[in-house]
Amino acid sequence: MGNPKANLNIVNPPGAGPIIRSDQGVTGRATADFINFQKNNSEVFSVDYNGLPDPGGGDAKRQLMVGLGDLIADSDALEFYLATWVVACTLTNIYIAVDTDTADGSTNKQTLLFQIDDDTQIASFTTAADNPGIAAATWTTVGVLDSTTIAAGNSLELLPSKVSSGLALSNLIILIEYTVSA
Amino acid sequence: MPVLDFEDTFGSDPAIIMDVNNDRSIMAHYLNGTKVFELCRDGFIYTTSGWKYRYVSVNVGDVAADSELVYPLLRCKHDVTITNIYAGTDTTAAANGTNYVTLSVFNSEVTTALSTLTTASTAFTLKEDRAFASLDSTAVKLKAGSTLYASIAATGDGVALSGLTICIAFTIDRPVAACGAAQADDNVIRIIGGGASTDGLIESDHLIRDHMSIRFRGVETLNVDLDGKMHGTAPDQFYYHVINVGDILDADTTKKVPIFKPHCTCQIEAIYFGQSGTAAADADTNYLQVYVRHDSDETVVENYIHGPYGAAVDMTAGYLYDMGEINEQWGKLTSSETLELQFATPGTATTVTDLTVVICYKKLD
Repeated sequence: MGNPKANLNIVNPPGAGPIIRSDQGVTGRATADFINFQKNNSEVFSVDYNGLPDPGGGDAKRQLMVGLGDLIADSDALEFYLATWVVACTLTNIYIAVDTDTADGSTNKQTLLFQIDDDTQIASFTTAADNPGIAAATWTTVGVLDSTTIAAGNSLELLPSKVSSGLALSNLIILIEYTVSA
Repeated sequence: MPVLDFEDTFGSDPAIIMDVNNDRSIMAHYLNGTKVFELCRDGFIYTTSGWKYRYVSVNVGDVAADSELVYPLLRCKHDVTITNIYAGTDTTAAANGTNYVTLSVFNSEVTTALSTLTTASTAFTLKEDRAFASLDSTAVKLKAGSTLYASIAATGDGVALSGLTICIAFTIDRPVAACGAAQADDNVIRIIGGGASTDGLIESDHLIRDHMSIRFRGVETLNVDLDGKMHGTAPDQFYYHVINVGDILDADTTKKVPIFKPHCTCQIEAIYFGQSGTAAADADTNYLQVYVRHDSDETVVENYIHGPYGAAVDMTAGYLYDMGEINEQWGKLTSSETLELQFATPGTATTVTDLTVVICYKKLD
């Protein structure tokens, strides 16, 4: 016997096929969700008609981390490749961290330009006019993203450029947060 | 209107409970005749959408022209399949048919490379990715505990690669063979079309109870709670980070290297480490003690490189090794807590080259 408190309670039914099977796409419901769970009328979990889950809590967001090593103060000649996504994604945040306090960043700074491979700017972050410019082992957001869309096959790039004499970054680590869009 | 609609119903147990004792799936969803989603009895999600992909991006760093090196890239707690590999550099490396570099990616259990790139006829253009083509169908199957590594070999004088980064896309393998495959059509509920509507086919709207519980032989394998958070035991509930923190010298033993900042509360499940050099456990003083520590300085896991005798592992270049049992208390991190690498040595630590760490974790909220 099943649990009488559940609305739909199916326990060990005979057969070998999926307990619930839906065949969608041939009617006016072609683009409706397969599953839609709500909390007080607000969606918290869904599986769309393409089979893409959109769960609640921390499940929806993904992270990708790239450690770039030491960046010298004048790294203007370098243009870093960071990652490629095989399906469309939406960027939600980017953080940076270093393993050693930088030098005084009051005058000498480092600008980090994040862009997609079609040159669309994602974010441009300049180290703070502080001493140090970035403290060791602290994660600093690059701020609100100018663009968030990553199409299938797009890659993310990082172009550093010095302000004044630039600022060396020891063991620069990039943390990218995104959600899956398709 | 939804076809199955559970709204503000009475009870404290999940609104939907499905418990099976054979290999049948719980739900299957087809779009225009093609299966695009399946929820397996072990809680594993099969989907043709981008949800299935995971990514790690490993910066190998600068590679000298005459390098003959191997770099660790990935190790997983469960079986995975490598689907795509890309590589890029921060400086252009011109094509040269005489002096070039060959970059290959290997599965430690397979002698054939997954794929190979060279600069013999195609350059690396700064910041632009190059895809590894035609991945070997056997080598892409990376079993739990195996290591994916990159091998770099020079022909002639070779060519230097600056800021080499390798990005890997992979999927978590289905642990239940039947899941995702064709199944019988004897369903308990079958929905065809569902009629014209923008509502979901299956809806649950509640204020106090979980939405769904999937069980196998009475044991819950996946729960979707009131807030839509999944709590599951299947391998696709595990996530991975890989980071190459570069060479660790004796002088670096005062450093705290940031390696993880979760976006939600997470439980660290395993941490693997390796390097591009070989390290025999043959020093009783000049070894490196590697700590993964919570930002409160409490140790999550620790291990040794280059010694001491009997305590460290003999490291093969490019391979990743389990650092040991995770301290569960300090391995549970909220979004405001972080992990760091810290180091110690009783003597003068022998340099560790391209120390690479893999973090495997689950999301708790």
